[in-house]
Amino acid sequence: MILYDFELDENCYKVRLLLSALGLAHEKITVDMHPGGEERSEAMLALNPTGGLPILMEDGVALHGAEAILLALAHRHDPGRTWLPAHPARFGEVAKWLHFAAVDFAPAVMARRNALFDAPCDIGDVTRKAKHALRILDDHMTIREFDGAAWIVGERPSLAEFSLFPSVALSRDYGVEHEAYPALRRWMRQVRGLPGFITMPGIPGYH
Amino acid sequence: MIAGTGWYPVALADGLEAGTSFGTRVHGREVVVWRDTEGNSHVWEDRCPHRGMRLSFGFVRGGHFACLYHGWQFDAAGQCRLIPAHPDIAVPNTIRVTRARSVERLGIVWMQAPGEVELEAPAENGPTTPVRTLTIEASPSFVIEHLGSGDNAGRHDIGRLPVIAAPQPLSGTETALHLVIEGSHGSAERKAVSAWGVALRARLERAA
Repeated sequence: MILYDFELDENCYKVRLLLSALGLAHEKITVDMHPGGEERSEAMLALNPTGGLPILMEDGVALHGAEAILLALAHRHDPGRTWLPAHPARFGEVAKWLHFAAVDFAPAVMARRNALFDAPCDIGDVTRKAKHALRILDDHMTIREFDGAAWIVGERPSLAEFSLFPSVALSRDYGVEHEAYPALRRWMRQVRGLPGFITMPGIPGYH
Repeated sequence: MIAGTGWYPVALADGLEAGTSFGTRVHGREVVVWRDTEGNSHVWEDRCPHRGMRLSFGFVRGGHFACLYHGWQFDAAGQCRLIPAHPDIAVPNTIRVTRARSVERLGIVWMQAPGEVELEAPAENGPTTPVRTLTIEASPSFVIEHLGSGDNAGRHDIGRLPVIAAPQPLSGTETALHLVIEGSHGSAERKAVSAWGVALRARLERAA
């Protein structure tokens, strides 16, 4: 199994979090997204024609899109369904939040690339959209707390935690503090306590 | 009380877990709110006396607060107790963080800060049920005007529930609203008051 990875990329971090939680041995190949733009090289476009990371290669099949990779890894390497509930309604909810992470938090990824790497975008627009996504998630976790629940879906942590944690935890990189999201502060603390949790630059470990 | 100072709500006491911290603002002034592992809450200026780093990026370590930048540790009185790069030196007493006075009343952490109006900390301290803190993209004066002052004790009647809605002026354009219900209530009541707050937030932001 090969992960094509860039350490500072939050979508790659989603996959690294699950690989670590599952304890899966893998080879990591660093792709120089910045400043190299290597993810758009001919060799990389052959693996992922959309020109992005992460890419996971297993048994000669290349997968791209962090949420797709999370689903594929859980389906194949998590037979106990620890991270992907088998219960139909819970499965649907996890799928909903994975979609939310990929689509509604895409502006947060753009805002962060603008802040860190000067990637062009309408920073006012993407920041407003990122804050909207953070608010939706904070509202959700507030209601979950009223029911005594600690996780995004059901009674256990799921793939939804891994797909949503990076853009929430790294929001300071794109200039959004955690001030307005009290339920997300408590949720992040729970995620940090998961077995196999790993950090990345911008997410300090408790030391 | 000194004229021109006020008591401002900065957090729901219940939501501030032991050993955690976060940064917030009162009239634009940055503060770090934290609870030590013995359960006492603290409100400090959000600035390390060393290099001016935001302390809210740092961590609670037992009864101390540690700056993320160089690991300087401060005790509950704000006095620097440890400089990891020089573990053997006696830290001068002059190295301390500026603290605010703070109290917990009605399930809310309040801090004293300079302000336009003189506000008293709530004198009574009965049991409350925490609901949530909402951040509203509207000026504090607009939120307070819309909210009204409630009854004599500042209570609002939300679906026959006695709700305390304490506004925190974050900046000229943002307001945090801390919501608790007087007395002991369950999940259904908390959800009802939360939904009222969400609708209020939407109304105020549309009008702002």
